[in-house]
Amino acid sequence: MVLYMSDELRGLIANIQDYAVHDGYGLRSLVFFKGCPLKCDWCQNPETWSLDFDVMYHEKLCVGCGRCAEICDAGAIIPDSDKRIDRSKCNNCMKCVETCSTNALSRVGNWMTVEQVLRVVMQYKPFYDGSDRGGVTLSGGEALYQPKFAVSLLKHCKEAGLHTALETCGYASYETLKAAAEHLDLVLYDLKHMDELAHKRGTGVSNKLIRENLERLCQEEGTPEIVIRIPLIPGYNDDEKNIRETVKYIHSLKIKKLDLLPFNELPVAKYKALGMPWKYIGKKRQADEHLDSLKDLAQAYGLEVTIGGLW
Amino acid sequence: MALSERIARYKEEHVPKHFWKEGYVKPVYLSILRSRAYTKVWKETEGEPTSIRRAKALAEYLDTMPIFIRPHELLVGFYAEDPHALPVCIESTEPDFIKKIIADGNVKQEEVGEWNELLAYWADKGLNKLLLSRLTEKELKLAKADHTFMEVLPTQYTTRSQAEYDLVLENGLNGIKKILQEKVEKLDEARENCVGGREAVEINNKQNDVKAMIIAVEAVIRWANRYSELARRMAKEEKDPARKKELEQIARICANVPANPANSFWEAVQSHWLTFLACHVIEQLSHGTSLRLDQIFWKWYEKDVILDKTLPREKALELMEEFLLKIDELGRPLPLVWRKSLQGNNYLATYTIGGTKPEDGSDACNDMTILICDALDELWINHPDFKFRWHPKVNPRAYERVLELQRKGLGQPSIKNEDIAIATLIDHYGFTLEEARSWAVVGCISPAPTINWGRCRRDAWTVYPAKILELTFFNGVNPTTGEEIGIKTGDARDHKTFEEFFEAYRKQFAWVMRTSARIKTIAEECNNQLCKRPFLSALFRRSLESCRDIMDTPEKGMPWVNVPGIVDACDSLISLKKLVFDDKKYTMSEVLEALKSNWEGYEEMRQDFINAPKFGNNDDYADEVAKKTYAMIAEEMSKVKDINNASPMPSGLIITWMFSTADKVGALPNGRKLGDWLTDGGISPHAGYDRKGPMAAILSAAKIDHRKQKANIFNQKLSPSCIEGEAGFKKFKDYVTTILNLGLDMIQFNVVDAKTLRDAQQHPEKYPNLVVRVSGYNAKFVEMDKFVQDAIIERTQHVI
Repeated sequence: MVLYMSDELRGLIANIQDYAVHDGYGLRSLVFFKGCPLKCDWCQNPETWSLDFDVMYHEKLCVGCGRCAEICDAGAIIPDSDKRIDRSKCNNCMKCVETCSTNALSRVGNWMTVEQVLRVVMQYKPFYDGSDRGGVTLSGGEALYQPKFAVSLLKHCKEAGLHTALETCGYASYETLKAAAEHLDLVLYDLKHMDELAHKRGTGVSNKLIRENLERLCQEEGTPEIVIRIPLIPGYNDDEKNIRETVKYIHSLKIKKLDLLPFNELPVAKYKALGMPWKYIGKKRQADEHLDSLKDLAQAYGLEVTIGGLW
Repeated sequence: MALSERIARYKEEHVPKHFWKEGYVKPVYLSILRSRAYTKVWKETEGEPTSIRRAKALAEYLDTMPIFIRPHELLVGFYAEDPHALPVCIESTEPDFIKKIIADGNVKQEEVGEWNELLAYWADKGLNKLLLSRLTEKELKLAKADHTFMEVLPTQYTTRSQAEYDLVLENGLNGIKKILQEKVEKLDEARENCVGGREAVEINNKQNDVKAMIIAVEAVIRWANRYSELARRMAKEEKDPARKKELEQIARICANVPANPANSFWEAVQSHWLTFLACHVIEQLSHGTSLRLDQIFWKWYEKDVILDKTLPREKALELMEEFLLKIDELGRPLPLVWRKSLQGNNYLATYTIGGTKPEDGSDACNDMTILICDALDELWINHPDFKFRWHPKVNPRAYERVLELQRKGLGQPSIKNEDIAIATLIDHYGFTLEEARSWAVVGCISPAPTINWGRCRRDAWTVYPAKILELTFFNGVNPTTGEEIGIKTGDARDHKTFEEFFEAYRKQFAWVMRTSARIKTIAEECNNQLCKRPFLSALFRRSLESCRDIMDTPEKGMPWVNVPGIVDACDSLISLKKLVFDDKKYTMSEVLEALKSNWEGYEEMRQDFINAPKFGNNDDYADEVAKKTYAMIAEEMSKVKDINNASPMPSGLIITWMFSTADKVGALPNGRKLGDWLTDGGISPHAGYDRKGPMAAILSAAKIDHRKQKANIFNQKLSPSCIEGEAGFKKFKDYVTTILNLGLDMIQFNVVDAKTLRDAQQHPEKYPNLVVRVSGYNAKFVEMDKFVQDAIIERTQHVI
């Protein structure tokens, strides 16, 4: 891969999506950052883990022309295989992507300047303005994994008069989080598990820093609104005990809103396109009754709760 | 909300004339009775003035057609002897068209012989003969090459019959007759004093036309009385006391209306229904109902339901539902070969609700606006079609009720932008502000005033921009047939710049406009001569005033020309500009070769043309070319005229032309192959070429100057998960309002349902951009594994 060698600050962006309604107030754009300090084994966006380009292979779009194999210097293309790419040999040169005419091979990741991202999100301003507190949400990956770029982007969005939100796992230095918070109207803060060991098992890291960051952020003056989100993972954190502990904890921090995000099995295609295994194949969304009981539990603590994050 | 038992039964028993696969949803046949009556009278009245012959023919049919009242009906009357019957106007329909229907077996077998006799009689008297003898051979050849590059001569000459129905509701037909009788006296006197000259001819014409109107009005009153008599007889024999009472009521109502002013909501709807059938279906088959349904009955609704409380709201709802089901029973015959590509209803009944009041521009919504939405919600039908006129101060309750129906997936009422409609009516067609504010949709999506200038002519035709572009590539030759049908605009390989090529396209387009406008005008004149409308004339203030048949009374022109597939033409021009003229990656000769070969053997090149910039991504490079194309088309249209000397505007309407043109329009530089559908929506981006997202697509469409277009429909698919719950609804409303504030003319949503998803599973190439969204995650549906798709389909059904 060719790293961008200019002085200008750039961020590696996976995707910018318009018409987002599940991640903050109003009508929004979502900026998906690449790179994440966590490796949650259920992750919905595995293509955003690395702070590097990724190649995805969509078997259905492939017409079998074989040009990718011809052009690959590393010998990483395995013809007639549903994986297509030997990831251990691939050097991310992107030649195969460039030669593919049907987009069966596609690149994830674009190094963009703040101005470039801003130009994309600003075109949708009439929609932000036409809705209640619509604007931009940084997501990922973890936006704070590219701290300078994320903070600079938020600052510029704010200066452009946009409502700003950040969807974060909370695993960053407190200074970074605080710097971001200065330009934020809303933080969507993930709490994946209250138990430290379980958290480490599922995400690869302890939840200590995440909790400390949240507690400190809550004490700051002029803190943006904080909404806690729990991605409900079957058999991992969707039991009553974990939810009750999480609810008690956020209640003690005087946080008012909670989003329970039901599991969805959609990412399986992405794992396949990236040639990665996924441990949650075949798992289903939680039953409505279970979701409702968790919601009731949280509401008993006076929290405003959604299932799915649409508010 | 649930249908009443009566309406539930009626819905089951009613006979919609919808197509399904190769037939109709219920058995139907072509009724011969009107054709028989008109032919009989035509034979008997040779030499008499045409308007009088037409009035006598109408009277003959109304006096003799067998009538019926069905067990659950509160509103009575039908255009033929049986709900399964389809209407046809033998005098104004192309004979081959009827012959095809006979060959399909859609007539009573014992009547085939008589059909052939009737066809033979009209062979030298019908509209078809008039056209054949008035158009040049070349014009005829072009006009008859249907679905090639223009469609200008309809095979069934269905007209607009946008009468001033309030005249009947307020005055009754007797009131109109009184006006006409006064005219008779005045004309008799004028004749006595006339010294000859043109005036004598004029007076004579007026006397004939007024006499014809009186004959027609009296015939419709007699027809209503026949229903009254039938109801009275049935009431006598009815055992069920409740039904007996209803029949007695029906008998009283039909004795009173439409002869006299309506006294109640029930009477108003009944009066309108019979009047409508007589002028809109029977006298000459028409399409496009063009009425503000929540305004026309409001006076009676308000009195009965709101002020006097003599009619419970549920009863009014039931009457409205029965009325809508009756409209749904209307239909036009079509031969089998057409039915295959036209699924659903073809009658195209369109009503308008909401909007502003003509006199002061204040909001016009009322409880009937909501009642109609309630009726649609309960009936869950997509025909008749409704448009809701949105403006910034529109009643929020009515607006939300409309959005609620859109969200539930009914797909209607679609939402029209009041400001755009009013601007075009004033700026382009020259109506007054008050007239403009009275608009209702005429035809399918085009606004027309409902006061002062109701329409009686068919003022629209169709050209195919993508086909005309194809003619430009091949210097006037149709590559699918090898015939030279266009004009020579130069060898495309000689065009050195994009501008040169675009000018050639403009020339080709201008020629098609000239040719089609000329043919259209002459065809209209033929229809005017043959198809006088004595009854419709009695429903127009301006013909009551002029004493002439409405076909001989000046109309303020308001023509438009449909441009289905315009987005394919835009996308083709964009790809061409990019790859041939700007990047010079391909030469024009290579493009011509690839198009001639229908892209066979040019797959790599085709992918380049597919991946080139396209309309619908808020990309200025692409959108500038689209703007230029739209502007050129509007400009070339402004140079031609219709029969009223008015110039048409383009209308972005597609209906089902995307199928019917598929095998007529050859390969295009947007990557399309011969046989592929054209873009399915007026100004919506081509499916799959809107690569960014819903908002970007809207922003592209907003760049086109909608005030220079007659109307333009924008379709968008939405996922149910984005609009669910109270929060989702609020965001949906904000989204729609933003779109309207951006100046789009008309929007309609398809909430993606399980059926669509299943189709996407089968045909992923049709839905490359269908995005499934849940929190923090987005993925393209077609890239998912089958079992995941199945899970989503399952959930989608669950959500809806």
